[in-house]
Amino acid sequence: MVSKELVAASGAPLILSILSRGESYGYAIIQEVRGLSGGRMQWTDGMLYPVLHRLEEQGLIRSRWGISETGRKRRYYRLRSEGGRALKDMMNQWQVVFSTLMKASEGEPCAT
Amino acid sequence: MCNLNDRICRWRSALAAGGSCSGQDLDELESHLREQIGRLVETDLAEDEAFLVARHRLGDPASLSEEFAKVNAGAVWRSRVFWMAGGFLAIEMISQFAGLLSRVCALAGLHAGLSPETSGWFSAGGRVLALAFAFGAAWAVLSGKTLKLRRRLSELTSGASLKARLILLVPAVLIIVFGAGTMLTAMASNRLLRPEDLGDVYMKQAYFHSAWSVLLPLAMAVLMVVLSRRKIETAEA
Repeated sequence: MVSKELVAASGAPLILSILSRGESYGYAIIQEVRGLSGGRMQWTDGMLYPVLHRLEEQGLIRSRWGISETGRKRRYYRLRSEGGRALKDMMNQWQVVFSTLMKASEGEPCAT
Repeated sequence: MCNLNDRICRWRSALAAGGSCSGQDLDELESHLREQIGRLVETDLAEDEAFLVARHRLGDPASLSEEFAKVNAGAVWRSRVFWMAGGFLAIEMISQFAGLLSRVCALAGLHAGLSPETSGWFSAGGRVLALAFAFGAAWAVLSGKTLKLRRRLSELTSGASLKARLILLVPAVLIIVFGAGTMLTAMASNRLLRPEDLGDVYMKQAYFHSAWSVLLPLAMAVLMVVLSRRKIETAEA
């Protein structure tokens, strides 16, 4: 099981990545994360929404109200171009962290 | 046997009571909850169990409220200012109402030919009546007799909607109306009094005005103490 801190830190890039594949809504995003992580990343469903709002406030995603198949109101989110750029940047950061960790655990001499 | 919609309604009010979710946030969360319940029911879970599982997965209201408060920080403070303004206006409205009632009683007494002395007591009685009425209304609102009204107010005011702010106009307008009424009745009763009686009447009114300044905070303190002993009925089962 992944620690809470890691789950929280990876929230934004995960959501942005999922949205980069197309417009989606809260419940579907959660299902996608569960599927992708094979259940090893446990999200509290409700916590998704404050993150979505923060991302929207930062101008990385945009939302609109629509109707679901069952006729209920549903809020859809989609990625904006700033979001795409921010996502690239976040992925780079994670890549740096990951490769540093790998090198550290393999005991490779560090190249300066 | 509570039906599903009732339970969802109560869950929603419990969240709204946290004060940090807007109406739209609540709509979104409720839509998520219902979709989750729907999927679980498809997997042959009973509706009751589906509700409990879905609610658990969504997260406990306390942490959710905390997280939403961080995102809706501005709205949370606006909501607090709204309630403070509302409280101030409510007290002012009660004071003005009491003043009006007392002067109407004094006027009635003078008109009926009673002595200024007796009319003075009449007006004091009017003030006490107004206080009792306000106390009773506060009791009814806070002890759960008007649960639906509180839920509606909770939701309205935790949003950024203009509608919520406009509710403040009601006590504001009433204050002006009561104030005008007080002035008119004061003018009318002064005409019925001989100049030498005026001093007497005003003395009596001054006594009761100071009694009012003591009684009102006392009444509020009593209200607070009594309410802290009983649980204010909340929405969660």
